[in-house]
Amino acid sequence: MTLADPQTRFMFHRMGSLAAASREKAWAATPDADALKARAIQARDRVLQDLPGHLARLEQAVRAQGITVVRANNAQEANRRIVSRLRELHAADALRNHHPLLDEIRVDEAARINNIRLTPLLLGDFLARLTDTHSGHPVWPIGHLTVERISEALRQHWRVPETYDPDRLASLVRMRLRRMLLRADVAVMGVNFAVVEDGLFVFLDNDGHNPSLLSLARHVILVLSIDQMVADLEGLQALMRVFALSAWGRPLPAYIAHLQQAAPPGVDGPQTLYLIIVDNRRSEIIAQGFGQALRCIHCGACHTTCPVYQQIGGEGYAHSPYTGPIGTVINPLLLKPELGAQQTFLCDAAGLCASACPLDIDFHGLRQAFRRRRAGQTRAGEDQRFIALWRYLIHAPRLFRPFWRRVTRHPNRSQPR
Amino acid sequence: MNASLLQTLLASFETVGVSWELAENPIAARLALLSYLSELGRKDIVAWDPEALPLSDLKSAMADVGMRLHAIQRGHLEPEGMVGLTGADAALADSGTLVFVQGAGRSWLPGLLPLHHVVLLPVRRIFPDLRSWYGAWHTTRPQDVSRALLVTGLSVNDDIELHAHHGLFGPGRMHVLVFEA
Ligand code: SF4
Repeated sequence: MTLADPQTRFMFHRMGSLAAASREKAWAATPDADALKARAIQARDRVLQDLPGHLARLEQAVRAQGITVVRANNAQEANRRIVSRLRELHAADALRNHHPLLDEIRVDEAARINNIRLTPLLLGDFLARLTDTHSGHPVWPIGHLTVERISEALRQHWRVPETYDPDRLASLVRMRLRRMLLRADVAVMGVNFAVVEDGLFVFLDNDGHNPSLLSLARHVILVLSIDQMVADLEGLQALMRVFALSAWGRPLPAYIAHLQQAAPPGVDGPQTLYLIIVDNRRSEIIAQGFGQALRCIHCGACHTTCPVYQQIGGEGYAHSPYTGPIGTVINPLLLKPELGAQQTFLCDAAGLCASACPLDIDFHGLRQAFRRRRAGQTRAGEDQRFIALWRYLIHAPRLFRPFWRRVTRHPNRSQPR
Repeated sequence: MNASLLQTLLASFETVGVSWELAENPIAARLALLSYLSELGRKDIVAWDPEALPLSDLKSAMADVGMRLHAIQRGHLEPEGMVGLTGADAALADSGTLVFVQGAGRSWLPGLLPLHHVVLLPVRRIFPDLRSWYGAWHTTRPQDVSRALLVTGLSVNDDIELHAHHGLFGPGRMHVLVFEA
């Protein structure tokens, strides 16, 4: 299945238009929309402008609650910490939640190499792994798959009868996931937001996989990216509302779970908490003046408006979990330079992403700034020729794929740092 | 009790797919609960500790009609076909959100594992919105905020073709019994 396949391309377009319609409807019904966005931007910028200060206060608050806190400078270090903690807990099996940071550091791969089975509990992530394909969208990992394709995968892997009923398919997967959940002992969980003033961790979802994990797992490894902090509850409210409106087209997530410390005896909840705070180049990104890119809360709104993403899907973004317009500004900063630079060209200047982004990220300005910085490092005219070729290819998926394979052939190129 | 707050809450419940029933006092609420559960034909109910539920004498009232309240215990977790029964610590009128604070005898699980969740909500626990609830509790009950689960509507997953499938890791049906206490 490739994007040259018209059905897959149709599904990307379908996902985009359904998501955009529900998002627009929800925002239109929000009376304080502009003020809300302004508060959310303020909340993000407040943290990004003083990351070290917020980090120090959060660490202090969290340690005071008896939680072990460690820092990881990069993905390798984060994975080493996670794997060693899993080993300490003698966990051959563990569950994980849906979170872009866990995909960014490739924790599944790290666990597998170390003979630990780390299973994603979100239905979409689970099926993405089973079918070995990912839409690249932060909210709908398998939004590009048809029920026929999912049914075929389940039939092959589990020998279940063919069905094209989405409810029936969801129930089949649910039975497996639920069985694993009820046996859950250890969970690896990406944190949506950490509230600095309270040392409070917040998890958002609509199906309840986060609170279920937090109730049933006896040991939880929390993984937080340094930028996903928020100073106080005021900022948290704005960000949660903005996330729910832009990601799911609803005023609030169905489930907002708060967690501050390990459960006391006799109370459900994790007996141990272990927090890993991951930088993975974010401090560098801020120091270089690209901090605005980190305002992103991974709602996926920009993806669903982007004509390039809908043409090329998640495959064109150098195996990074950050795809679509935000991929074109974050990947150049996160990936190795030779691969990251190409990412800025995954744009045909439609400009729709900017109006969709609730955090008002200046995609165009950030890409221009990156190109300007890189211009000094490349031969004159090289980028311009590349832009022209790129613009042609992103509208020709049959040619794009082999081309992309060719430019990413270098074994080290697809590895995020 | 602010009647318009209550009306806003009930309207929000409908928006988020939660059914509700109003009772004038705890006695009427107990009767309404028993009749709702009898109509469902369920005898086994997984619930908070009876002491933690906001209606008194429920255990004996239920035993009188042949119903049994069970605590959720690790290793005996097959309550999917049962009904979950809990109180709610607060409700947010503008969004139809229910707040559940985890504590001894007050697990989140009866509201997550069964496919059907019944909630007991005293009217005095209604707040206008998220901001007012955070504002009030952050100063007076910070420990409770730190163990709170906020639930707005049913468990829904739309990963497959963006089709809304209800009841994945939480209930596909919720009923709130609101009563004057
Ligand atoms: S860049 Fe903006 S629209 Fe895109 S995922 Fe991030 S927050 Fe959402």
